[in-house]
Amino acid sequence: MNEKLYSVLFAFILTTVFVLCLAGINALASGTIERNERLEFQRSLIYVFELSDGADFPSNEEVQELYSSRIKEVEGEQTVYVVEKDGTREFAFTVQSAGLWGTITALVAVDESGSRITGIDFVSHSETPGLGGRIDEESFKEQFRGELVSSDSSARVAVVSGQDTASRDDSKVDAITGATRTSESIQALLNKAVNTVFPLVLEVVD
Amino acid sequence: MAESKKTIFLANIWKNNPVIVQILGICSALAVTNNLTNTLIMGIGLIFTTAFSSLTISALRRHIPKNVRMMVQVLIIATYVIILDIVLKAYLPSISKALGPYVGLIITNCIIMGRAEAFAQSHGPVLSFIDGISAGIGYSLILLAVAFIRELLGFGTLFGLRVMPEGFTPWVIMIMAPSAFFILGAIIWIARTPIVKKK
Repeated sequence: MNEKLYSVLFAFILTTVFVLCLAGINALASGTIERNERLEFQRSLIYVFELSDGADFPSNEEVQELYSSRIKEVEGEQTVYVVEKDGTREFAFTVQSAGLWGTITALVAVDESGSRITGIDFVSHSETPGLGGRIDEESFKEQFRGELVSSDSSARVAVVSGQDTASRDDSKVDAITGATRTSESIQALLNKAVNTVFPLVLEVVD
Repeated sequence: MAESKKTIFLANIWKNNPVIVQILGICSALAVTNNLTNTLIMGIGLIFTTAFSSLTISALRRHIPKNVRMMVQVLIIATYVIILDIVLKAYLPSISKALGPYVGLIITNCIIMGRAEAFAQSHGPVLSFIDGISAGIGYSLILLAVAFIRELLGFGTLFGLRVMPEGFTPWVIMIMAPSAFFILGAIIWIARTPIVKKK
């Protein structure tokens, strides 16, 4: 009996000590982590809006500076980020959709009428590194810039393979070789962005 | 104790290498080795976790009751992995993003538990710490070798820098998990031939 009691007590005390340690470390680091995440998100916004001309990797200060000077945040049912460019507005918003292994969260920017995608960036995903994970690559994301949104509600922007996708007006982008399911998920994500989220966005900003 | 620090260190890296001799840690060997940067960080993460969990388990070994031994080991390992995860998120956010769920999966790496059970349980803290570090290094070296081949042929790059000529066609199979099976198998075969012959 004594031995059993010792085991239970030992496990209990050790667990408490470790949990307290972790809580302490977490409390110390959470400020930094939050700041990193906020900065990362602002960097994404600047990327989808193409605000940093020239510099591919704006410094942290440039990111904060551009964010506070150019981007307006509108709270609502769906938080919308608004940028004014030459008299017209562009909207960016987050969309979540199922990927192959987990949720893909993307930041999508569209023009005022929702007729063209102006930029896309993936805030978080857990696709296979080297395969589906390549959605993070510039060459994939840049394809969406200025792409026309099709009237077909099941393929607003089709992610296709083996077709000519060079034109900005064909509503088609190249899929990733070896990542069919991820490519399908991206198409579904854009459908959701245009079909469900964009109407909400318009309600919020008007 | 008969074993010197040096023999323990060298045994873990070569004669008793966790990956090629004990065939442990194969899951992560397949998962993270398609590029060198991720592999290196994973290796450093594992060295850190194995070393410190071995140290802690060894320091507590006389007090840990036998019947809850495993639970306590997992608790200690998990604590260090979470610390690692928090540190990466706070100070190396881009790498934390690239490694994604793999950091958390260090908990399931059998090498750590293996070293805890086979070594730290019965040896002093300093020796266990060295044993943990060297087991981690042994693991990292093999993974880096696999990643070197996979990244070179799969992307034409090393640590993200292009080394293959422009016209080089990447081998898609190298990016996918099956290629790691072939390469790891070949490495084990080549590395163990002299060891087996000696016997």
